[in-house]
Amino acid sequence: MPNKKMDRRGFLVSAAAVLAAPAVLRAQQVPAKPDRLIVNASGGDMGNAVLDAYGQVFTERTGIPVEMTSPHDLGKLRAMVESGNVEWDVTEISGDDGRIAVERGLLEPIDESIVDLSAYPAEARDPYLLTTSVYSTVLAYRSDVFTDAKPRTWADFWDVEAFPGRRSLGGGPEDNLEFALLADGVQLAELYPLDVDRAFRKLDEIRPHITAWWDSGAQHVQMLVDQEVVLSSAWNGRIFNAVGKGHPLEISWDGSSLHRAYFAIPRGAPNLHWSQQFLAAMTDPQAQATFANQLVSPGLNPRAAEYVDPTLAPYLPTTPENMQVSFWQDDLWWSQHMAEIKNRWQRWILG
Amino acid sequence: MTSTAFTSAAAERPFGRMMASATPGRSLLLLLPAFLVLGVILFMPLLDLAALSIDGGSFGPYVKALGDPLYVRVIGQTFQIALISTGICLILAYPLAYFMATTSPRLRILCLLLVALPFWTSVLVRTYAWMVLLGRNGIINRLLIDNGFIAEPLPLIYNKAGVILGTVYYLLPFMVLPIFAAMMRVDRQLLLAAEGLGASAVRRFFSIFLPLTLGGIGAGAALVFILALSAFITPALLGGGRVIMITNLIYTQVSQVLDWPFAAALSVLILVATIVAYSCIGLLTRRRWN
Amino acid sequence: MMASQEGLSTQAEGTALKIRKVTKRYGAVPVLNGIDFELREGEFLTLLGPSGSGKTTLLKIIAGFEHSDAGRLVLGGEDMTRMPPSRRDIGMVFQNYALFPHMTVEENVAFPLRMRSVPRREIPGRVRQFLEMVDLGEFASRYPAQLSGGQQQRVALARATVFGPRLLLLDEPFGALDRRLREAMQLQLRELQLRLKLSTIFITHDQEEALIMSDRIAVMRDGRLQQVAKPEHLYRRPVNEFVANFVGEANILSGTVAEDGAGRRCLRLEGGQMFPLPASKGTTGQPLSVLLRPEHPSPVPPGDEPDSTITGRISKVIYLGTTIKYLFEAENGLELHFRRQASHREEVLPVNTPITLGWSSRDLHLLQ
Ligand SMILES: Nc1ncnc2c1ncn2[C@@H]1O[C@H](COP(=O)(O)OP(=O)(O)OP(=O)(O)O)[C@@H](O)[C@H]1O
Ligand SMILES: [Mg+2]
Repeated sequence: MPNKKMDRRGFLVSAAAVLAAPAVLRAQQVPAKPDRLIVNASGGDMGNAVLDAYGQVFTERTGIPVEMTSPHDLGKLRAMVESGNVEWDVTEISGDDGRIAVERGLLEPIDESIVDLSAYPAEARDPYLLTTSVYSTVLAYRSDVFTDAKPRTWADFWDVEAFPGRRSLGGGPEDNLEFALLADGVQLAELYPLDVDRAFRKLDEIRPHITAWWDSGAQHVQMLVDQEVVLSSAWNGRIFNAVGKGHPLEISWDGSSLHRAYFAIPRGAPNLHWSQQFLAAMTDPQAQATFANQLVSPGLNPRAAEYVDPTLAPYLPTTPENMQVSFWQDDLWWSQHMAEIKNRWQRWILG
Repeated sequence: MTSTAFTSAAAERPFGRMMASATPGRSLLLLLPAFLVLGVILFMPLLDLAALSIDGGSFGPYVKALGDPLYVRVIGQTFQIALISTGICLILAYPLAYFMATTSPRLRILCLLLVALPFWTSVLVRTYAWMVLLGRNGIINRLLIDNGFIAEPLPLIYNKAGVILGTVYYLLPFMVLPIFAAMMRVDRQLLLAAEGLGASAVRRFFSIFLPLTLGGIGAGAALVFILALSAFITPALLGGGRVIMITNLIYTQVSQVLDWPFAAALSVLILVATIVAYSCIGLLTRRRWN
Repeated sequence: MMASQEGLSTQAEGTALKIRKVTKRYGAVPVLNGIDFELREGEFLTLLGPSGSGKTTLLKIIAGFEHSDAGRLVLGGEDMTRMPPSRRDIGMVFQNYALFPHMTVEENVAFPLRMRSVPRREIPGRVRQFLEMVDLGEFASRYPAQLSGGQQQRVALARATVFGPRLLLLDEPFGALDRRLREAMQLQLRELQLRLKLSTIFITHDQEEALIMSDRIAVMRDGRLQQVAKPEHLYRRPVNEFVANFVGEANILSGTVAEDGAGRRCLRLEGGQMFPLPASKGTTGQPLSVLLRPEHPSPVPPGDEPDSTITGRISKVIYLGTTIKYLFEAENGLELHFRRQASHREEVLPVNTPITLGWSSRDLHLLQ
């Protein structure tokens, strides 16, 4: 496809820019400050936490106010970049969307002379994507329904006799294929590359027991709270909040799917230097702790742990005991297979 | 007959001449500004879209869309839901509009406000309200169970019925208002005349009132149908992820898979289908008489 | 006031419609007050009256679109006071025609036939016959919006008559037409009515139209019937000042009966002027109004001795083509107007010409 060729060209151009960038920056004085920095992320709790934690640090450092927009959308990012009309200075671009954006050359490289990643573990360092936090898709259930035997694994989720009740799963193939394979006995370490056929076969089993395939974080919480369903896959932060409001919900970390929330700079962003500065603020350990305390979604700066509320440890996906029974969702694998699996999923959903 | 009548008929001004006095050139000129604006903000992007869909110089995306049973099924399902929603909207809206058109002015204003109420809340809020209302433990099911009408909760949402219900609720005003307007325009004297000429209430309705309000039905049906075709949030939430509409597929292609030529091809297909549907509605409800 | 009923139509046989003491109010306002008259078979009766006098209301009650508060309607011997309009078999032509805009001319005319379940085969022939009768044969497939006002009017007429109604009602059908068209339509309607022997009630507030068309005229005022009579009777012998003024032009003189210095009987008007009366009319001291139509007084030729005379001068001349209208001022200040046929044998009298007007006692009509 000619399209792909063009993207590759775009990629080369930005690669050249990477090499040239530090020299250019050094040669110049600090560029003029914009009147505000536009940061795009998921709305709701996420947006608020970004503003509270990182926006504040950034504004303190630079004096530039931050304005949040939402939602993050790969299609929109591409449209902006390709039309040369980039409105976002920084955007969240999580999971496989981030990988696709990198592959398509939609992002500016991270300037490590500004964004200090030296303390980060090697697997968390990427030339384009800054991992700002980690969240997990977990198994959640009504603790007032399952009082004696509690569902723990995805095999339990699939076991409708031992754990009867209506269920819900996410409305896309992501996570669901992994959960199905885990339920079918695949080991955490052997998940990828996914055996797609086997996963769909296993999904066939659970399908009649699914009330709804949820579309958003708000929806799965709503359905659990309303007892529309008693078991669901769910985002750990959302359940944490619901429990805080007194709803009888519990989660199991067993077989939970770890996700990286990525932030990045759209290619051609108008205030590149300040965008880099914002990413730098996002690596600040104290800011990361503020964020983690709000959303139980910690960052990857090891020093952040010092500032996170110690009582939250059991609820963080990155706590070693939780991490041990979880798997990192493989963004790269997903980004490469998305089109085909999405199509198959939609066909499967229609039955 | 006397010759007086004949000459007077001839003396009357022929209809054709009256129409010819407004020259076609002048009236076309009046359309120019609209053409310019529409041309720029509507047709250019549409052309762009069409161009994008054959970006690869081939009709590959179209072959893919029409060759894959998934897309054919989704297009079918989309039309089915839009059609059923339009039908239900019509059945609900017509009597409602009739009531509004014939009631006292005060009650009419109240009804208008109530009808327009959905416009005042966001789709998302409305959809969540439906979830609360229609869920297994929702208000309706609890009322029915508590009063012993049913033993098991009814599956009111997370299926096609839920999507149709949400769509109907959301789009009802678009059906009511044009029909209401058409009814207000019906000359009451025509109904009296029909009655005097021997028409029973039923025949007055079917021979006079219904045909005279057909234009409103057409406008309402076209609006509702087209808006239902492009519904997005309602099917995703109230359909329980099971009901996929064409817009959901387009969204996947635009924002998750980034196959824009394919998304453009799907959009062009739905656009063509919409134009065909619109023309059909237009033909069925056309006012031939003026 | 009692309505007087005289001069029954010559071609009348039985009674088509009896209206008995029909009364109607809207809220507290009485709109019809004891309306009581009869329509003969095949008669053309015109309701004449000023705006707001209740003509339309009466017609609606007859058609069944309104209900009277009291009184009865008897159509062809059948009491239909409470009968729904759809069963009355009455053809009505509305002022704005009320044609069905979504039906062709043909379909409009066929409508009452279809409603009556006339056999399908017979409908096109009947429709064609009536359309040709109103001279619209070639317009059958047009829509009303494609017709002129006069053509629409004729469609309405065909539609109201095609099913052989027991009664034809028309509410100011020609109000919106220009004069020439109006005259043509008047003739056409009358002809159709005579041919179909339709008992017809026609509303107008144009007295000339009423005089031209009607077998009888019913004059209404403020919801009351003033007089029902043949046109010439109404013109010659109106029962009151209102009718006299409403139908045709009138010199109306009101005062008390008195004697002048010479002992001749006179009417003393409010301004004190004396107007000569024949000795036979009235008793002294009685209040009285008399009507003298302007075509009756004429300049007295030398040697002639009319019953009454009055001298004065011409104060104004209005030339109307076929007639000339003069305003006359008597020596005692009394004013009259009179008309003369324009004729090449007679010069137009200039203003200020001294003149003696005279008339016959027969031409003087006493009003109550
Ligand atoms: N629906 C109504 N409610 C209240 N009053 C009414 C109504 N219809 C008519 N009237 C009143 O009744 C009176 C008679 O009205 P109607 O229409 O019968 O007069 P008309 O003789 O036909 O006058 P026109 O020559 O102007 O048509 C008027 O004073 C009118 O205001
Ligand atoms: Mg009237």
